[in-house]
Amino acid sequence: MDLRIARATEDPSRLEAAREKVEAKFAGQIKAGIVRGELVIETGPERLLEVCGFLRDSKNIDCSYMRCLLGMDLGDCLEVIYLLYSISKGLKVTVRTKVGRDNAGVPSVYSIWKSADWHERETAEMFGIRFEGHPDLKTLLLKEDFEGHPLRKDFKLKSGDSAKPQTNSAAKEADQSGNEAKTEPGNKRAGSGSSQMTFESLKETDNDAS
Amino acid sequence: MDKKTKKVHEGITIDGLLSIAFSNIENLLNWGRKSSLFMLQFGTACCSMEMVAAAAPRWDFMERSGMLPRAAPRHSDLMIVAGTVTTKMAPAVELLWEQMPEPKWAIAMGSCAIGGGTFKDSYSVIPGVDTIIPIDIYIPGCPPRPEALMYGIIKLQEKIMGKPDKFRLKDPRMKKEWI
Amino acid sequence: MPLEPVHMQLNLGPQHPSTHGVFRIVLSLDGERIVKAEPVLGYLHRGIEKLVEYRTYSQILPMFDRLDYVAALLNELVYVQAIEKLLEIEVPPRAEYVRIILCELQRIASHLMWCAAYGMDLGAITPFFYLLREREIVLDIFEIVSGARLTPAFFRIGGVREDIPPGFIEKVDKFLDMFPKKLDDYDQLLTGNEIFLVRTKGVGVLSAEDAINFGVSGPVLRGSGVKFDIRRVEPYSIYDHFDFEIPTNESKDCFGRYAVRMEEMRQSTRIVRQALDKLPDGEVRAKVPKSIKVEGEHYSRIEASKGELGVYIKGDGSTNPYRLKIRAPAFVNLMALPKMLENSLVADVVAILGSIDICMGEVDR
Repeated sequence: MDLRIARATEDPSRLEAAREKVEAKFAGQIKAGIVRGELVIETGPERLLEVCGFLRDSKNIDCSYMRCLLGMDLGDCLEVIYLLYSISKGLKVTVRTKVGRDNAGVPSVYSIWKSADWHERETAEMFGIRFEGHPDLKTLLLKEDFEGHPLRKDFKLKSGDSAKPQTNSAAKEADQSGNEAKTEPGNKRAGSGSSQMTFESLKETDNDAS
Repeated sequence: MDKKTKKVHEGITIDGLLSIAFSNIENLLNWGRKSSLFMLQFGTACCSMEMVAAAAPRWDFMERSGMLPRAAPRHSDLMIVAGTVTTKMAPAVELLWEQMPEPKWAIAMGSCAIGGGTFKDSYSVIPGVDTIIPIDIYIPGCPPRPEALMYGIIKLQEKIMGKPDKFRLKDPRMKKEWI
Repeated sequence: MPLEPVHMQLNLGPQHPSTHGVFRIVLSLDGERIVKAEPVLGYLHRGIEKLVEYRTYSQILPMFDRLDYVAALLNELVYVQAIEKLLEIEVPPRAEYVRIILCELQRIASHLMWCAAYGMDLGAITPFFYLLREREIVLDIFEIVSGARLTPAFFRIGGVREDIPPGFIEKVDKFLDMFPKKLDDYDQLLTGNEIFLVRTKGVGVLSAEDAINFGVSGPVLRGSGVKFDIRRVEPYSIYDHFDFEIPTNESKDCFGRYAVRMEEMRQSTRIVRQALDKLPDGEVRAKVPKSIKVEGEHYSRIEASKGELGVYIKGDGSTNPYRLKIRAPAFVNLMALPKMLENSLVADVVAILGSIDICMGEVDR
């Protein structure tokens, strides 16, 4: 592994040279472009391991460092984005793969960069994407019996869209439709709202507490 | 007339004598309990940094008030829940609470422990730790300053002694009194 | 008949004084030697990446404070930087200098907290009290600037919230005058201490190739000999105007990471001193539309106190982000923990875990 450190570069000529190399190797099977100082490669899941292996092993691109791995829900399909970086050459490379929403399967790049281990586990539980070849794809951040995939767009939070500040009535509605196993002190809300509303919510509090 | 209410001397009954003796012993025991609280070292999130700062040299509250942080729940009697409690952590919090021997007290520190805080509508956050364990003192803030934590512990000490609050905020619209 | 060893399962549970938050490791032990270590995360998973899709860009800023709660201003910097890059907003120079001063002071505060907790993990209680005394002075400086010690929420998209108050420069000057001498004192407490050396030298070795493959960054990577610092490699803000060294250590073990962090504190004081001398006049906030709408995707990264902190924002032209991914350095550094724990003893777990410097707020988000 080349351990020299180079400054990160957004030089168009070097990115073009890297792009030509990649396109020469995988002619027609990938789409490569330069966006905002990064080389962006779009490929399908079946070519993914070859492309990533080439990016890591080629002497001129040498993407030995994986910055990040994330998933995205694009509405009609899911996308996995690999953000790579070359420490010795200073090049920033992004690889994007699209898969369908049902039965999404993408090969795991754990064999290429061990850094993909927990990133893939998190993306799998948040989006429902299966990473084939991953040694141990169990839930990382969520509980084992959690149902659903939280970061998909069709997973709504209990309170709906709360981009505007919640009023007392909206909070009461959300609380009543949520868990039943809550005791009263937990969802008291004082201060804002009309005094009528405050008094009513406290009246319920007293009835339940007594 | 049974033995307990029998008058031994004018106005004094054995029952009365016993209750005076026991209330003095009770006061003594309570004084002992409040002066040497054993705190369970349990900090979840950002509020734990302010709890650590309260133990740091500037405020030095842990040593001054006689508190000692203990690692195991079986050796402690005060649990300060500082930080957000998530659905994955909730069984652990319940288990820790049940492992603590009586008498025990709990403090909810910070807005996440009181009512979920800024993460209230998340899918994995419990809206307030008092849904799983009974809380004695609530300390608001995000995070509350170390002085606020100190005030909360002093209030807890007063509660242990059975003394009423010296200062109470009574809002006629509210049915409950806030400290 | 040969006897087969049965490995004992030991649970270093979510409530433990040395796990720096709610973090659990399930260890399989053969006597005292560790055969397998499996970290279990998620005890502080608050769902921030989902919550931000329901909030506007200005409302998200205080949530970033709560990620790495030991070093809050650094998290805010990466977020405002990503949005400013997408919206092509130019930050006024005075705001840039104020940001750098506060961020480097925040880095010092974060390393002080780490060192205090690390000493306490290994049994040395004295550094805890001395180092937290200095951290309180830094938190005082944050308080006179923004009003809050731990979660300032001071940076805004386009600059900082308001200008620095009178008395700020004198206070920072006073701190910088007395801090390097104190650091030398603390060096005497731990660096030459025999017990500390025995517990950290040769423990938790991570080679440079492994470190890069695991995506490790920050002092853990520099403690393995790789001189990779985003402030030098991909300078953001105005870091290319300052003159500072990047400390590395070739020993690749816990002691190397400790030495890197102590030296980084000295370099941070150098940067703050230069920034104070060159502080220009002017406004501190650029003109930004009242309701911020962002279109496009960008990944922005900074060198936080724990490593490379990155934020990937995708905006679809509305007031809320479409997708926001936080690349937390402690999350990625923690992936190398089972590798570092190979063939070590139970007593080394705490030393190695402490040297990675995790903060569960950003590991679990």
